[in-house]
Amino acid sequence: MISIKNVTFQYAGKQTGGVYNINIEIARGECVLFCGRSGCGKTTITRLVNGLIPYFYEGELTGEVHVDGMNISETPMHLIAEKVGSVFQNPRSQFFNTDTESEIAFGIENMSWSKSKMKRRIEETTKELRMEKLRKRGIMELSGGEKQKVAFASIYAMSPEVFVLDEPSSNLDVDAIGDLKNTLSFLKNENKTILISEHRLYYLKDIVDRIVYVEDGEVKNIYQKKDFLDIPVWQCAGMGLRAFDLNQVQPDGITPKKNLPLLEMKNFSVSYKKKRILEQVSLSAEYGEIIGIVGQNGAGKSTFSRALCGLHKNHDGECFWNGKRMNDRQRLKLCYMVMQNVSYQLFAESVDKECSFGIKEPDTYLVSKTLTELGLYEYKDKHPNTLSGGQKQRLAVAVSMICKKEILIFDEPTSGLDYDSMIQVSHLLKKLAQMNKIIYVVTHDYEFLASACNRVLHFKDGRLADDYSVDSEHFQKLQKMFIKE
Amino acid sequence: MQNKKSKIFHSDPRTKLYILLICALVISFSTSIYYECGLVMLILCFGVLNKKMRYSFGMAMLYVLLVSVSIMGALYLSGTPRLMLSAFTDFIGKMFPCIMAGGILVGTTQVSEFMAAMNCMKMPKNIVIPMTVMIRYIPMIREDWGYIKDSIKMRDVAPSLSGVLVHPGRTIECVYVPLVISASKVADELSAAAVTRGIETDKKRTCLEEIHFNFFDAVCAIVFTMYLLGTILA
Amino acid sequence: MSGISQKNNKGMTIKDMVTTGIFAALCFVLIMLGGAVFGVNPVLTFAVPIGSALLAGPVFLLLIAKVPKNGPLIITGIVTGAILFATGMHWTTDIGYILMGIVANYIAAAGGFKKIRLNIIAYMVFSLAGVGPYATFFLARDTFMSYMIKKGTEQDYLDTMTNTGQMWMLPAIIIGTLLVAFISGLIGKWLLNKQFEKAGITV
Repeated sequence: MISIKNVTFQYAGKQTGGVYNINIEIARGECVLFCGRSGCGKTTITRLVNGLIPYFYEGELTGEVHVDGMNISETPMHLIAEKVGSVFQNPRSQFFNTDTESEIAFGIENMSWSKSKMKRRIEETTKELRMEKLRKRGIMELSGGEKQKVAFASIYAMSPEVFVLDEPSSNLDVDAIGDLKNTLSFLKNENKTILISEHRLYYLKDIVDRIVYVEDGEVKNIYQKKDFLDIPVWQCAGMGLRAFDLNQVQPDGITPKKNLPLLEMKNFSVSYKKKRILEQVSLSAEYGEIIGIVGQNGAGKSTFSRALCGLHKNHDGECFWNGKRMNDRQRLKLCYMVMQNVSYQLFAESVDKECSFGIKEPDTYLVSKTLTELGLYEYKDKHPNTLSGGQKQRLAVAVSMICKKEILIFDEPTSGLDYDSMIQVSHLLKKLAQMNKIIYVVTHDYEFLASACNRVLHFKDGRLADDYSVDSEHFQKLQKMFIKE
Repeated sequence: MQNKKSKIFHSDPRTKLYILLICALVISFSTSIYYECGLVMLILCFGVLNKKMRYSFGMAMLYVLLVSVSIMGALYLSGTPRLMLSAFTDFIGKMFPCIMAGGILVGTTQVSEFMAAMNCMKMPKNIVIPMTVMIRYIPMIREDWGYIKDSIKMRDVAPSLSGVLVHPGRTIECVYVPLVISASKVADELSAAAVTRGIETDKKRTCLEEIHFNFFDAVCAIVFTMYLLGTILA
Repeated sequence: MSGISQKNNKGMTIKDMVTTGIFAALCFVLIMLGGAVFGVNPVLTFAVPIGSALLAGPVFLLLIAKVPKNGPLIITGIVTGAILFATGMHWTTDIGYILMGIVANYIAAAGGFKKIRLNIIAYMVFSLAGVGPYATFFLARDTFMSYMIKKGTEQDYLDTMTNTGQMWMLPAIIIGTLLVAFISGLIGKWLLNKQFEKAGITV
């Protein structure tokens, strides 16, 4: 079905992400996983197949890619599109239309199908992908997982033979990953060929046939699934890979010494336009705690963190810091949220300036010390936007340290990160905890929770349903929540 | 979604655009405020039939208020205040009917219908694609702005009035840099998504959404056209 | 490298169109926002075009920097005009945006889309689009007067009007708009140099 022969590709004007001498044959109906560290070139390989290289990304290409008899670099993009469907990482930026119905039809409209044929096809598609209730909805009101499903439907409606997925799970919660898995099994039963480039591996356990391990732009190894399953956990970690089997993940968070409660929240209720969305949350936290916030989309996690920061004004209840009452404004001075899309919070023209942005008399010593600590010093003259995702995140953390924030809230800090970067974030959090900060992490990442957090808040339907520490005693609760089968 | 009965009074987007055009023309040809009042009445009827009760009556009330203010002003004020007031009310009065009709169009038309209308009117791809993207992106700007506002507050570089005056440069950076960087990223990703779904086809794109004229469209078009002719001839 | 991957410098690619759409959306929102600050206030209604010119400069210049070709500015004009028409704005505004979009395009094209000064002038011209309704309002003095008389306004009242403010109103709006657009353009230039080029988001 797909044959990649002696392909070498180098992005124009970029040193990283290129691939060298790739040779892979993929048969019809096969599901192949491409994995490896961030920037290893696995996404580049998927782009070779869906035609974005050489069409969309410019660079030096040698070798040949054939899909179903087409030579990719000689076939016009719209013909490739009829054979190869692509789903990308960020569901937010894949949509052309404002309602789901037109979005699903987008691809087949391009294939200039007739109205009645399209209607029938949409009917079929939504039924087969079990998403009838997503029809005729506005795109903006959908959750990330639902958007992903619509993106799939739009591709599926075009009935391509090959599906290319670029890190499809990075923005999804546990349930949505479950749905994604079901969709993939369905495609596999339809005898479609599937290529996935992905960091999170566990949900693919029952679906993939072969695993291609990519390192520094080269194919290091191609495993059959059973051989791959035999690789011990420590070796996977060494290869920079996430766990294939979540049952093998064990807690690693250090339980902090008991201190006096520093932050206390009493009867916190949050409303949005007169509607209660968070009911009566009371909790206390102390120095050095790393508190994971888990729950489904819409359970109230982000509302809680915004209210904690003092960003969401519409709430009842009180908050104490060191026994003193704090209003929203005072909390805002104390808290800092590292957003999932860090780009929103970086304003300056260089890493260096970012750290002293808006500070009257910046402490240059503190700035360079913090940057060195976080491994950013060598980038100090670069524009923040040119940094990698992980570096941007660390820069935001550096800012919070320089602004002397005491409470840090991370929103999905590990979405789309490989094992190494995930562990790096986990170390960073622990380091911050040792500096006596209180840390909250909103996350769907089970491996990360296990490796970093020492306490978990479970939100459900706008309530704090559970609050427990991550130790051998309570770890089962977490397992139960994340590993369904 | 809608039952048959309500569809009788569901106008085609092209009709609504046509009515808007007529409104603009009536305003240009109108020689007296009576024609404008009549037009607002007509738009009110159109809005009500298109099931925009609250909006239509609200706007009509607002117009009545505007006209009364202008009459009161003419009766009780003199000199510069009167001048200012009359310039304002006359100007808004000229704008009002179109804005009201536009509100009905925006409130009763799905984006997909609007795009279908553009397709039927044989707009070139160079216009249709940017237009679609634009309509799609405007709500996202709002979302982006929410995040940016939050992060500005957390950095304590709040965009307060005093902040703008003391540090204009900093405030400008806080607003534009994240907004524009996010926009560039979306532009890249969205085009990749569109290209892999075959937007660059040389075949004619079809359109799922069905739009067609019905009896109600014809009635509306005729009534508004007659009104325009009446205004011109008078 | 194969044929299709080569950049076609003449026509617009899909990426150019999408970029144009997104930046036109930003421009549109900023124009609306700037205008809205004045639009709600009776005394300042006539300052709406001046307000709308204030915010969009940086985005407009960045759009030129990102897609330095014939097309994006024309499309921005057309799309903005079309959407304004659909929301019921005065028809001169709609036509104004389309015309000014075309003029702006050729002004910027004269410098190969690379001369920042010409690009700023292009933006200033583009901003004039919003002046349309005010121009018709003040220029159509004759119809306006007869209109006022039919409404029952006394002749001497109209004289006061002419004497006190009507004469300078339109030039003031135009000059104010150009000036504010120029400032906005300078801000855009500053941001381009300081931020956007370094951030790697131009072209």
